[in-house]
Amino acid sequence: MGSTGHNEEGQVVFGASEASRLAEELRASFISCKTRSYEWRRSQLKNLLKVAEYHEQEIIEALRSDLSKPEFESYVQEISMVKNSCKLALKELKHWMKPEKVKTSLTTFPSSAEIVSEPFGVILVISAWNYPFLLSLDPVIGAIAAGNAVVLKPSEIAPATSKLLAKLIGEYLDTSSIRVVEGAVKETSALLEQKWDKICYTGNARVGRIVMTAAAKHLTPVLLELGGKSPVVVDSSINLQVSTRRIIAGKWGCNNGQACVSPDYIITTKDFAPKLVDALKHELESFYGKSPLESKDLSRIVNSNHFARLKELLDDERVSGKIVHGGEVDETKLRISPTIMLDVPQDSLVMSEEIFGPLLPIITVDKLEESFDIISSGTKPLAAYLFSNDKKLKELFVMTVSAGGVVINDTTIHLAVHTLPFGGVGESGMGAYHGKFSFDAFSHKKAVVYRSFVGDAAVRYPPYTKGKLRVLKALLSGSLLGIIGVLLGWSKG
Amino acid sequence: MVQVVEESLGEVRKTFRSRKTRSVAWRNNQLRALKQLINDNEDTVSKALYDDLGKHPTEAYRDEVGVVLKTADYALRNIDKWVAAKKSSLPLLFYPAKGEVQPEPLGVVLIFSSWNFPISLALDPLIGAISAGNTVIIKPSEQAPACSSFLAHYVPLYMDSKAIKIIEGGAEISELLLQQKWDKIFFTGSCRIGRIVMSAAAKHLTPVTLELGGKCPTILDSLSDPRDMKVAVKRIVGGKWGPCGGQVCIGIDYVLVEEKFASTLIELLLKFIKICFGENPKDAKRMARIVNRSHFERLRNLLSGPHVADSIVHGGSLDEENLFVEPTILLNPPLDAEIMTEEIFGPLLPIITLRNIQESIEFINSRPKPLAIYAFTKDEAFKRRILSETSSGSVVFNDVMVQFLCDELPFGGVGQSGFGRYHGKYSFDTFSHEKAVMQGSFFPEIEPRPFGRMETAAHRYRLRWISAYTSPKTKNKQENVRTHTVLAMAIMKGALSLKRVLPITKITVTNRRNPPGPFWLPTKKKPMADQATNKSLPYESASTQGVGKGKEEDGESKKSAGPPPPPEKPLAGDCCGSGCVRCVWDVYYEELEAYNKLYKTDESEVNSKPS
Repeated sequence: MGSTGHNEEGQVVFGASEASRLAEELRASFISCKTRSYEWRRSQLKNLLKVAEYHEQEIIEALRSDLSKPEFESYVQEISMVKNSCKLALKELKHWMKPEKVKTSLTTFPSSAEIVSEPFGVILVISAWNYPFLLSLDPVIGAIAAGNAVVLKPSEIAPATSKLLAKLIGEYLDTSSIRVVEGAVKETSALLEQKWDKICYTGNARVGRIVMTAAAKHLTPVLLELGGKSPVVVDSSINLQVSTRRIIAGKWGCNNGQACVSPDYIITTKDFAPKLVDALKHELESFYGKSPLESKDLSRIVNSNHFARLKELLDDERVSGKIVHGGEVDETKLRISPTIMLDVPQDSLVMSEEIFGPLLPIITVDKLEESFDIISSGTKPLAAYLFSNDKKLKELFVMTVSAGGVVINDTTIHLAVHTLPFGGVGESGMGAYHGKFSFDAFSHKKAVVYRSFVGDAAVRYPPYTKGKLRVLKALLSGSLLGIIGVLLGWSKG
Repeated sequence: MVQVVEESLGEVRKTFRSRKTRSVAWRNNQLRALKQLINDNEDTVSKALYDDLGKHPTEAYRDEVGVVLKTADYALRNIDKWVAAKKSSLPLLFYPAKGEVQPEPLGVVLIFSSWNFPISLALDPLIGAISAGNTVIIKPSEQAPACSSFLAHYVPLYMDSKAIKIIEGGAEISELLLQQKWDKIFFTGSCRIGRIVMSAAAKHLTPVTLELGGKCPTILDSLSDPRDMKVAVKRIVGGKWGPCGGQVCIGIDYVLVEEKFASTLIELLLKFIKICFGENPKDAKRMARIVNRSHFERLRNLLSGPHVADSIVHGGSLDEENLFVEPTILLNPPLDAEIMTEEIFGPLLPIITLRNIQESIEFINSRPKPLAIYAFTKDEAFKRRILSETSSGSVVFNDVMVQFLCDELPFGGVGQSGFGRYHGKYSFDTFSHEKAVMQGSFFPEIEPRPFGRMETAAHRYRLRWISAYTSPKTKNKQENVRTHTVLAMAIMKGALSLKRVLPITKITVTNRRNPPGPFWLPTKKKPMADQATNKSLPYESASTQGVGKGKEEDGESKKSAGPPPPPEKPLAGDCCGSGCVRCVWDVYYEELEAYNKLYKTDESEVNSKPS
């Protein structure tokens, strides 16, 4: 009950028994092999595409009510991304599903081998509130493309989108294999008690640990998409205007900083910092006007808890003096203006926690190379950005900085590229998805060897002899000459 | 003990931070050293394996020494290829950015190996971890003490002891190790411990690879050709009792066969057991013994169930003194007995008869997912059914355990048999993070993002344009290609014309007022490239200091327009930039369009422009 999202009473009573019934139903559906067929996957993906195409306005409205997300962002960063994922999956699915032929070794000659992608089974997707539409459906697309049954638990912090997803998925998709469970901690815990074949969680590291611990009970593999403090290193030899715009687009143009790949802080040289701040101020004004609290182009803070959290970061007395731009808050509307802080102490709260909001501290260093130490002294971020024209520095950055993804001279756009895996490392998560990587993330790669009954080497079997050992050595060394030599010397042994 | 663990970990972490392990030369050296270690001490290894498990030297070479050497060779041959960044194609939208996937080492890796292949299950993952550039701590299984101390003694002699350490010990030390933070844990062993390892890893969000076991079934179809039958049974015998006396995670656990066929199977099994292991397997020393007393007791318990003892058709004798269990065959033991619910991991082979071999699929599916399924059949349709309807780590047709030997195949389980995979390139991947790297430049810039005042974005066609552009070429290929061409032209044109005037900041091609349809259609007799460049102007000139540029563009559009004076272009300051419903630029473009319609420009001039 409540799994299709139609029944509002159902959501209230979703507990352990409902969760286990749901898991059983979906497993039965998966075992019937229905979800494995190409046709089923295709039809579901097509329907999902329809959800994004026919209900654009509703989705935009839901996102507006949850986050005051500007229509532009809703469309470009959520709806069109979902559509593109669907289209790509529809286009490539046949190709992805094809078994991959691989070479076999001399030791097993004659044989052929392939790697078959098979669905894991029933997938649990727990999504986040900051991109409630995209982060819910993108993994679902991957899971469906790979032929799994899916349970989606959208975030309760974005209630309108959660409700809409429950309604639309109930209407458009095959509810015997794809379900939405709405709810909060209680429902999630009930779901996590069940045995799933893969769990995909997007959110924070704290809950990530809970999810992984729960998964360990059933030996379930997990895909964790967490966050982290994504740094932006800014060199002085750059096109300042383009860079600042790109930083702003990545920071405040992505859900007002409430995105996992958003720049979290900037590192730049002492000399360059004032210039950068000026440029940022100037561009911010041209983007969001003189009173950004009123701007319709900025999302609001999602709820009062997060508002209070950000307020605390702002009110830290070691930080409040460092604000060089913004800092205005409107508690009734849950809005915080784009805020830049210069030279905040590195042990302050704003520099030790993931900010996930419209505050942007700038750290200054004497030499840019020092930034590598600052970055590696913290936990591994989900993304790291560098603005520079210096080829050596770029190379060094790519090789030295460990992060989920690295972008040079831009921010956040690697997310939109389906040929790149999107995922974290260390504290920023494990596993990757997007494009073909989504399909792979929800598929088990089954190794298959075909042998015939001929070509049976006696060396495999006891009784073991010296001669067999020699053949074996030659065989495993893989040198054909060696084998022939040994066989000749030991032809009738 | 805590101190040992912490000091060792601190040292290897320091080594990793020093970035020494990242160099390919270091990795190559370590791999060569490992080969050297094995080659120099082959006899010692064999002896250790004999002490721990009673493995025959040939078996030891086949399953351990040889495997490690082969893996190391394979890694040495391929490492240059593996460490290289893989190029990814990017959508044209991001041109001229470069995209690639750069593998990077995860950091400090903890490897728990298991006792049944104490050398190869410790060194195989080690090879992967080194090739990927990690530092490693190995905790060999304490249940194979000779091999454990061999590793602890010889590895530091040959390899970089600051980066690769062996910590010996039992459950206590494992617990201590698990409390630490690692960057990857690679575990080979049982489900029960697997759960503990994963729960511990969750505390530090450490990724894990679990190589567990499971009851691997063998399906034996009725093979009409007696020669095939012989080969099949021979392979079953070799696979079941050959390696480590059945104490193998990918070993055969039970055989599924049709009722009418069971007697032939048993007959042949007995024949080959005799050929392979002699009349008296215990004294022939061709089969490994049971590793220790507790496992011996476990196997004894498996055999002692209520109806299990009755189902023994061959063997069943246990030699407690030498920890030896004879090759034992059971026919149809009760399915709810422990021998059919627990992984056997020993030289007992239950045969389960089915009325029809096709039923085997249901039989397998009603149990946890095994690490491997073996099927001897010539029925292609049945093969396809097995492939698509069952789930397991791997499937082998007409042979057993050979998947282990293919470097190109991933080795790993699914469901209860574990997750993650290794061998060959997959080992490298298991110990690497695939870092997505995108390198952009500042120029030129086509911006799909919300630059400027975003209310304007509400106009759907601009969004459409973006989506048409970012989407994979699906719906309207032609239009897409056209879009790309036109834009590429526009970019080049823009680049050329603007570069002369001012240090380029950016070119934004915005289609603010003109619906995309007519704009992309080349049938329209209009200088498209020129128009596209013009389109970049409203934003540019409105937001930046584009006065000089405006003049230049103005001159150009005049040139292309023909004799009658074209509509007057608004000045840079004329647009307020707030996205009015009818902006001065809208008016201008409408007029310009009408004007262009009336006075078609010279075709040749248009074509010559973009070049």
